[in-house]
Amino acid sequence: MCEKSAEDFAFIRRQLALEDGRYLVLYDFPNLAAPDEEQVDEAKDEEGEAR
Amino acid sequence: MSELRWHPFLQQWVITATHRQDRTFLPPADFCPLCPTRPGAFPTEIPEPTYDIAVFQNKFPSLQHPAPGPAVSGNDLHPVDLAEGICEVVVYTPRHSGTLADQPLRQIEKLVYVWTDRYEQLGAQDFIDYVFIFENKGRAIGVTLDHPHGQIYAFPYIPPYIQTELASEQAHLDRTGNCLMCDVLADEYADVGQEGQPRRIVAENDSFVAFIPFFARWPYETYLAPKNHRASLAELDSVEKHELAVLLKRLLLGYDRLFGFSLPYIMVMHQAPVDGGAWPGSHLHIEFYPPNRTAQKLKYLAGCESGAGSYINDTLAEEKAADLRAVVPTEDEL
Repeated sequence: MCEKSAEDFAFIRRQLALEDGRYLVLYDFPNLAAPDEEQVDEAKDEEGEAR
Repeated sequence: MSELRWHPFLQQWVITATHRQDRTFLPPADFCPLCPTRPGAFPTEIPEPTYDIAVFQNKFPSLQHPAPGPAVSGNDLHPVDLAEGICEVVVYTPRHSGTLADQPLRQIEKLVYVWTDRYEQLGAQDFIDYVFIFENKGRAIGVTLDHPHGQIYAFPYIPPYIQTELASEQAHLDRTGNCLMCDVLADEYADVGQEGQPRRIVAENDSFVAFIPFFARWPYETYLAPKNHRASLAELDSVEKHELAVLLKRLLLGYDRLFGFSLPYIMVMHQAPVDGGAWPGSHLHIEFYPPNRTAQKLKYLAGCESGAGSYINDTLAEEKAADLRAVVPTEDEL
């Protein structure tokens, strides 16, 4: 059974212009922890060795 | 230079994009263009100190808006058109290392929301007919940047494979009154092996199911689809988005456990076009094509596949599904 978390995935979309005219859209989820604050599973390269 | 050139034998557009020859190729981590720009460091594509998920227009796009004029003139036999469209890069995380499978479940669920928003935002553009979300993972697939990311191509036309799929779905709907994918899912559940387990289903939860289809072309080709009929990401509710993220992470971790290394794959999302038409047969799903047939051996699209369009699969979907099912973690293990 997969239960819905009660977390709020409301996001803020910020669109910026890059120097060469392309756009950049940044998505922020203010009610959730930022990725920098979360534990990431141990990263492994394609040969299976931890980086 | 970028343009569409018509292939009169296959009746489809070929995109030329010569500037892509110069794109960034496997830069060292200190010069990764997808990392946040750190104070005093190399200026990346993202001039912000951090972000949750970032999306930007590809610096080396196959499709552009506004599109440049074609480099050549076409004629009746060889029509040429503008390569009008949008190519975006979706950066899954500010962290340079890792893969989509390595991301916390919450980050993958955020990505589902971003995918949905990009589908709606790009789909609202009047020159866009199809929003194609995909990821090429691993150097065996030809990725040029290691930072975890995917891509979106917003096409000015419905691409050939999707056209074929939509036509098949419509024909099935006309003939039976049913959605083709809904019937395929029902058949997958009905085909039960000796141990009472549907033979090709790899994993599931209440809303989604992952299976190696009866007609798999690649040894570990897997489809991930909503159990209920949903035409696109835009039709998923919050529970379904959560369960999509859960099953996606489980499947990707299973892939990585299969041979004991991070498995390369192509991941593509098929959903309803955004051309304003009615597509009642369209059923959202994600297809995965890992190139490995064993830990050391890759399947190549060689003569029969590339030259005749006919796939040869050296394996049985039922056996490969059992292999994969045995290593996919449960939700409690995430």
